Amino acid sequence: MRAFDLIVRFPGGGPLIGGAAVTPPGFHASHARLRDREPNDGKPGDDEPYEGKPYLPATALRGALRESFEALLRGTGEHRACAGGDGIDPEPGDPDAGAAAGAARACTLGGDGTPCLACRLFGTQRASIGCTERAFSGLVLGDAALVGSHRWTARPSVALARASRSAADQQLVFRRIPEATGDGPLTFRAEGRVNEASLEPYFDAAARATTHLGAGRSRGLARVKVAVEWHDAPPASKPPALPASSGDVRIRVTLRAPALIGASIIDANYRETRHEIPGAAVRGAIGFALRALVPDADRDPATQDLLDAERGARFGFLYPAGPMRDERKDRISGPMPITATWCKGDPWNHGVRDTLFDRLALLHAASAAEAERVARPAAMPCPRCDRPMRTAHRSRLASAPVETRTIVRVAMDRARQSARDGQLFSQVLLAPGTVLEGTIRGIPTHSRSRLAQALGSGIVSFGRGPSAGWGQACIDIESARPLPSIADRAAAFDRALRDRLQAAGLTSDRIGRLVPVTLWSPLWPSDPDRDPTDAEDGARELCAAVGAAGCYLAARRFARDGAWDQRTGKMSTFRATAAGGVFVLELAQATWRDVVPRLEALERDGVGQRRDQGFGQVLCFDPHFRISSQNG
Amino acid sequence: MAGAALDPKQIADRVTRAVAAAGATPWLVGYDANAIQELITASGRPISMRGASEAIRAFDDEVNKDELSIFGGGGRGVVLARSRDEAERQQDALVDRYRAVTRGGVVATCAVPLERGGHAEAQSIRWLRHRLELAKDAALPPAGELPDAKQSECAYCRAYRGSRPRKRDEQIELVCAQCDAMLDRGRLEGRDPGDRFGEMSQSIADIATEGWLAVVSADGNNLGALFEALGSLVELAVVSSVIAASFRDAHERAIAPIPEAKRVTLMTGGDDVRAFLPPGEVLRYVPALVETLESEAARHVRATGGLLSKDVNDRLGKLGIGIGAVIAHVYYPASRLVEYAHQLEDSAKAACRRHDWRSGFDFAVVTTEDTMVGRPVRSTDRAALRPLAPCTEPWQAALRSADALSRIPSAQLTVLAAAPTADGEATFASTKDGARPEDAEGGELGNLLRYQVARSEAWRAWYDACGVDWRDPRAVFARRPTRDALELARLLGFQERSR
Repeated sequence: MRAFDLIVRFPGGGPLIGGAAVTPPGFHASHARLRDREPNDGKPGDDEPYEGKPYLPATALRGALRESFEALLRGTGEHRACAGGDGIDPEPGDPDAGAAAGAARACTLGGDGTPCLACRLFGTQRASIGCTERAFSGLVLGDAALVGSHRWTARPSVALARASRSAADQQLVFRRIPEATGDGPLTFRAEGRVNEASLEPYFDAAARATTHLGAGRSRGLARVKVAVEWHDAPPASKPPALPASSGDVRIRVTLRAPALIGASIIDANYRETRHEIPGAAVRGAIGFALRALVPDADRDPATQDLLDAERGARFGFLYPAGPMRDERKDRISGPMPITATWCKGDPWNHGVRDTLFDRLALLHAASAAEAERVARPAAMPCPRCDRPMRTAHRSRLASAPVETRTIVRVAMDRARQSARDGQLFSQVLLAPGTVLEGTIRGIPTHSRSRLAQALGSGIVSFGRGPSAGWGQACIDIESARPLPSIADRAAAFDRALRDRLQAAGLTSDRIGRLVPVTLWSPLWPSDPDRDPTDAEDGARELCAAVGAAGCYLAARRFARDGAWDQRTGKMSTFRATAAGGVFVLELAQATWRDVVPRLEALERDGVGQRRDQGFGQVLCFDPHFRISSQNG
Repeated sequence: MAGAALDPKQIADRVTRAVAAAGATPWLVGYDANAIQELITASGRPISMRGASEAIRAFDDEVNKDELSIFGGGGRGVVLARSRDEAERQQDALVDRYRAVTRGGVVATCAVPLERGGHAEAQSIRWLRHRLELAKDAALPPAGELPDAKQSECAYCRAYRGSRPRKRDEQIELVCAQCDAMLDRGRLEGRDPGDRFGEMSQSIADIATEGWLAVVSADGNNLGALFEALGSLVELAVVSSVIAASFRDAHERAIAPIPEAKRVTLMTGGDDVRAFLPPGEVLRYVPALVETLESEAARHVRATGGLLSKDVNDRLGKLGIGIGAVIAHVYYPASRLVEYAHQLEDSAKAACRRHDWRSGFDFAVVTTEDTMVGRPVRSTDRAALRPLAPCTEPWQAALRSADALSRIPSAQLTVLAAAPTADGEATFASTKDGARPEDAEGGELGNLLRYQVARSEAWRAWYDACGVDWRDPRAVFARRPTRDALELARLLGFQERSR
């Protein structure tokens, strides 16, 4: 594995690569830009909501490099190469040559059933990874950032009507492109690495052979000189260290590049990211990093035990957090309970108010008059602006909406040098700078160094598109501190419930017997034989774990969840009870004091299936109910 | 004929009879469909979206046939039961029937005793409302078989397993049981006697103008407070019916000029309106909707006579609407567009609250992917146009200005952003902090603009339409087109093109 910087210079003209740009009024195309600052407020003159610097998307870079490399390979007369990973050699001789786009198959043009060199370096169209391979693509290459200064210019062009020897009607086109301002050419720099030493010369060759990048070649745009600057030092430089020799760890992930975390339901051409990173994706990211870092990871006990489904670590979901570190050691990274509400008008600035105690009080009301006494405070509008409250959809540690940006990608048909029919995709990505937090629990002692090695390596990337540099992140590690004891939380909960009921003139013999359980992550109920269409939400399993007679209140939603096994290429789907759900269990005779060990075990072990991937993590007597119910 | 069928006194009589028939220990049973818009827009196909809307309408109609029904519409309603046991049976029956009609949809139900005397009836209604909110979070999950592979996903909604073959563009595709049933129902709707199927666009793309379509989402203003103020079941039934009828009539009248094959109306029950329209129709549809709604509400209020309390009458008489419209390419999934139109509707409603408008309208023309990221950002600057108050003088002025702006050749608008600007140089097109340049006349850029204005009749007409003297060098720069104005001109341009 060797790292490099790819230097892309535009000696004349500039680039025109679309897909990530606001096109101002009057323009017809604009080069891709980063989103450097907040959208403006629409004041006169601020006609452009996002005025960021130009950049070169990694996907466009890879496409151009690959195209040149494929041509080189075919030119040697010794290698066969498919077109863009479709597995079909466009040269005469391949029975599928000239096949319509979309007839893709796994590439085997490299001989002995292996992919061609272009596919080994740039990736191929396939759903699973070979058992001896370390990654889908030998090359990891991120977006190229601008080096130095630039200016935006308008490039007009007009189509001529040959018959009248004048400009064609309605064919005046303005393109917005960046140009260099200084003496030197417009220059961009991208970071990357090649995972196999044998592929390094090929990558060098691809870079040297690449002469054009992007659109507008016939208009003097897109001409480039590409150079590779290899780094001698290996990319892994951070010394591995976990904060303690035992115990759970909390990781804080700051995205350095955009990330696309696969959602369970996606439209054919509009793919949205999840706003959280599932435990399965965390586990997968660490597994892939270790595969690249450890020579024989498949036989390394420390690696295998770390990732083992039964006795391995439990990789929790990572949820969005604020850019400023929350210094509370016992902070909870997870979604708000769905009982939490916020202002409809200004949700992020007018506070959060929880309604669990209101709901419990309302369930205790036995008459309309009692319900009226309960309902009045429960139906309170926002104390800051008097607007109605609605369910708060947010992560507990987040202070602003998760920032995303949408890019458009098009698959090119190399034979025709044009976009493939029906191959235009919008992808919604988590923006660089997004911070997410979560925990890894139950780490086997002898695997701690392996986990530290992966987390400190700098090559862990989350979600899809790692070969385009997506999902790369800085990871901070600290000890996960325990919450206050269950007894303390429960006693405080009882006091708050009693106060709420008293305020409504109600009493209850259930105080002490109610156990609220919050889903910290999605829950997939255990019964493997259950009908996939049935209504089981996990309440039965929670009752069994606690020894409760029933569920007094359930506030939960459902979501389709699933996973994709990169080894087998298989997808699994299931209906999960969504994270943030709240179940208030009712003990028949006992009080919570009698079941504290069970509650501790429930918090420690979780409930349901796929706990190694973070599912089924729960919290009893969530402190949130007490704290935020006072905010109103 | 719109609005002819509603007779508040008849409704009051029906409710009185229902209460009498419910006996001495009556219970109130409430229902409210969960995730109704997701259910309707899941397929993204006009026919099955229409089918889903009709399925919900059929469910409500069935509820309304019951002699103990108080009101049913828009996937929510209230019925009476004679006892607790009967209330529980009714709840189960409602859940089962809704699930069957929608092939897996979820309705939340709850029941409370109906108390009478003094304020007890009003308190019981509020109790039911609040319990229903809890019930929504405790309802069953939606039913449907999940796919075990990407290839087996329903070709329409992608949420469930596709098992029923359907032919589309000569291709066989598998759809799930829900989409299949909604497709059948949608095709049967609107057919003339003797026809096998009704007229309906096969695809959202058929509605579009040059690939663009508009999605409208509208909702009544301050209805939560209105329903909290209701004092009796008669008021509940009358107010619910008046609102439903007012919105239905207003929408039907506003949408009538659009050919049926060029529009898709999703379920318009209660105070919700969702519709797919050609973008050129938006600026005609919106004022028509607002005008008719406001007049219909006033007409119905007059017809209620003394059935409603003064407070409720006053609130109902001031019924207004928040409208959001997103204009985008058909490439985007229908559900995403509906979701963003709903956010624009929220923005319009917030403006109504802030400016004390009766009705408001906000819109966005999606020309870049990032437009739909996050909530709509709107300026508090006085020069900002969005959101707008339809059918007011500022609305007319904005349209006049947009009309003049749309006549300026688009290539000339590049002057607003095309000036070569070094990175970091403070000009209006690229500023570090978004602040305007110090030079009130706009420096070189101001000169460019003034040059354009002086030689272009269209530019001068635009400044005239805005009431700005184009000979004033400072005013030319200071009052140049804003982003809002350009967006409105773009929207108006669709209207011009459709002509």
